Amino acid sequence: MVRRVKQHKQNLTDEKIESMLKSLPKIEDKQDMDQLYINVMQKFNEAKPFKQKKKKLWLGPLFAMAAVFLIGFIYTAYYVNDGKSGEIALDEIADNGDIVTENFVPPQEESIPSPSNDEPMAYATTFPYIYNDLVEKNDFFGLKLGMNYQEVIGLLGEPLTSEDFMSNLRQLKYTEEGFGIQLKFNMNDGSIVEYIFYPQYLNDTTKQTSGIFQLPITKAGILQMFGEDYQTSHVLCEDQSPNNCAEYIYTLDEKRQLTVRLDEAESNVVFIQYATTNFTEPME
Amino acid sequence: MGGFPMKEVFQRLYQEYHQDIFQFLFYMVKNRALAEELVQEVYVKVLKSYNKFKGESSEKTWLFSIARHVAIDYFRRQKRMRKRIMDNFDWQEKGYLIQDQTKLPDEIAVLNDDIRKIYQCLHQCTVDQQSVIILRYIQSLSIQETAEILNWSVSKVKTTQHRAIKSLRRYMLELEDGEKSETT
Repeated sequence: MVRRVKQHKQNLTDEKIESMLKSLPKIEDKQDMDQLYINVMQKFNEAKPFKQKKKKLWLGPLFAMAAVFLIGFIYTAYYVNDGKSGEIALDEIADNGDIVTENFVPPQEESIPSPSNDEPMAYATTFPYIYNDLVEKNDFFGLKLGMNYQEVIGLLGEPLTSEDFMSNLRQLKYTEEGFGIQLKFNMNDGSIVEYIFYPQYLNDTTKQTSGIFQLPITKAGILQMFGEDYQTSHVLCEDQSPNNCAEYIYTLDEKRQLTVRLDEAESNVVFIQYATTNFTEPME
Repeated sequence: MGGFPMKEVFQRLYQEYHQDIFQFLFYMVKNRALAEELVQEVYVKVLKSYNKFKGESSEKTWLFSIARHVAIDYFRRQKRMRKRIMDNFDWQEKGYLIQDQTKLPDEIAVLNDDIRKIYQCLHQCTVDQQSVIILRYIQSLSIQETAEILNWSVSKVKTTQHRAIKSLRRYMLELEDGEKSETT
């Protein structure tokens, strides 16, 4: 018995182990490639944007402010005391709040206004992440120009209802309030050339599939999300009122642009349009 | 512009490398359903950083390297979860409930005894040893490619490979000794 064990030990050489390892079977994945792509895109959309190492941008302004205070302090101490020694000046300034406050310059308010309390907050402070994804990756919460309908549904889920009209437009309803998305197709290949989002009919915080369901509804939220690098144009408001509505146009590149239509008061979002600019409408 | 046609990139990577990456993940985690899930994570990471891929290594070794990190992330998550469960587990009352639920995958279960055993023993190796063994003997990659994937020197790959084979031999003998003592 002992001899048999010893013999086995001798037989089990490194080469035999290597040969056994090489005999392990090939394992194949049987997932369908298209379904896998849809699953990947869903996860891609849910994944947080890569956190770039934050450059400590606040350090510069902080030092600058500290320097302003220090200079102000020394200046005040010197002139208020007519060149008396620093120690006396310090005491006097401590007693005389007015002098200190005269020299205090409040920091400039940020040019981007804060979103209102009604704004869905999840994406309110995301500039420039979402805007950068849009510019660099043609990626608007996972949606891209050039996708087909199935890919969009794979990302957003099935709508409650949909309606087709004018041969190449389809509207999707995700909440009972109204149609929240309109898609325009290139009928030659079925790809999407334009998305229009109506945030007031999309905002549904229970839906976690895409940030599309938490788009900003106010001008402040738009500026927080996309920044201020836009051009303004004025167009007639859709409801045939004589008034003009402002449109903020973000030119993403020579072929794509993002347009935000605001209401007459220029405070609430009517729609957000993400479109190819060089698409030619089909001949009727 | 730094954009790229994501679907086309996905399709190309899938055609060229998918089965290799899936197989690597399967042998790392030893579970088909889990490998299916992790391979999706690999694609998400690949597509997110595709713009940053500079071609300093080959696309193949880059993908394997991401797959390995995804597997290691999974092991870490498991370890944390296991620790939480262990800390809260009543060993005196429920210790008898613990049994090894690991079932051999179908592809392995049908193989001969030796191959089944080597598969089981592979599980006992360290993660580094498993990585080297899978890349070298199952994926048939060269030492140089393995070193690139693991971001190691060639000599470290050779040493780890050598130790892994020695460990596997020892585990095989222990397994057989254990089986013999159970039958007698």
